[in-house]
Amino acid sequence: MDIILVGGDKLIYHLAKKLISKGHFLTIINRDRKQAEDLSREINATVVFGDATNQSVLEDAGAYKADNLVALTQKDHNNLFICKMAMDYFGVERTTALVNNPENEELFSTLGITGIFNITDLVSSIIEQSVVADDVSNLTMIEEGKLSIFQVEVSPDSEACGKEIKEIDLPLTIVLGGIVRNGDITIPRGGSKVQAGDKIVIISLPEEQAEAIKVFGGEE
Amino acid sequence: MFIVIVGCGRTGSILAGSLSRSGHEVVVIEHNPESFALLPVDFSGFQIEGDAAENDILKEGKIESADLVIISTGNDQINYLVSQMAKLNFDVPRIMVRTLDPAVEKMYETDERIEIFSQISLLAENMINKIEREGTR
Repeated sequence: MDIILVGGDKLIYHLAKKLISKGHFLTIINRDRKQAEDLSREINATVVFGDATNQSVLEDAGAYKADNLVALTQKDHNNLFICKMAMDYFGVERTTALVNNPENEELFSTLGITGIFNITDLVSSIIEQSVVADDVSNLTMIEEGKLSIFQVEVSPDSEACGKEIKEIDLPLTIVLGGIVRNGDITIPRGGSKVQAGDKIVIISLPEEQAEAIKVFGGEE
Repeated sequence: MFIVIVGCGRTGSILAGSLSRSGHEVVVIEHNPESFALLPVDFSGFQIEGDAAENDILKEGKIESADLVIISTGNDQINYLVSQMAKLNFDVPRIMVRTLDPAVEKMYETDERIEIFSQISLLAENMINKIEREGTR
């Protein structure tokens, strides 16, 4: 894929390397001369020095043939503007924007931006989780955090311990994906029994996550 | 009319002064408090200090009941974001936007409720009209 990356500061270096290693063709736009020079030396990509809110800079970066543009600047108004310009002026089909102010997420998606990284909410939910529960692990987020998959160890004093799945009172939006016991995995059915020390793989909406952790992990 | 003006630089302050003088209710939102000094002494509207790209600040300016919002900061990107917030978050019936770079005019092409005023295009048009009116004297 032809991808244009805009801004991104320190993050851009590692992100670019990763994308290149996956076989994508990259163009990086950076308006900091020093950073642009360093990137052009260190990374196997086309680097354009300039302000991506400028139509001619986007044109120089080959926006007409890009499949995807990713805007990672620190300013929401620049990210929105660059993505819109890429779509409306150059027909770029997929655009991804970093959203610094969580309130802008809905607006950006209404305006047709296909991928939105709400950095504030993502980071805070991850920090919250790591602070709240030590017995929760392997947390994965799907669709920018709209669905989470994680693992909870069943605590002996939890509500679920010793019960069959069907006896446990769980919100409907929580799905159990597997029970890990002594390294073996069983796919849970209504009659499967949950024991202390089992690890339960759970798929849930982020807002129900705390409830699921409480039922299997015990405590508040 | 109840008019909210975003940006109180040279353009915003002239607009705010004349519109309030001619009897409109005017609220001016500006990030930099020093810019309020540009308002004429007889300005009788309200001043709100804050970043107009935040919903809370726009709400403070009662934008949801505005008949007209004029967006006149000196930054095309901020103007675009605020115009879309006014339109989509607050359903403002009429929005006027100042544009600086003529290249951005096309961004607003399909926005029915938004009218743009490009300082460069207006200036050029004015000059050309004058030259053409005078003919080949």
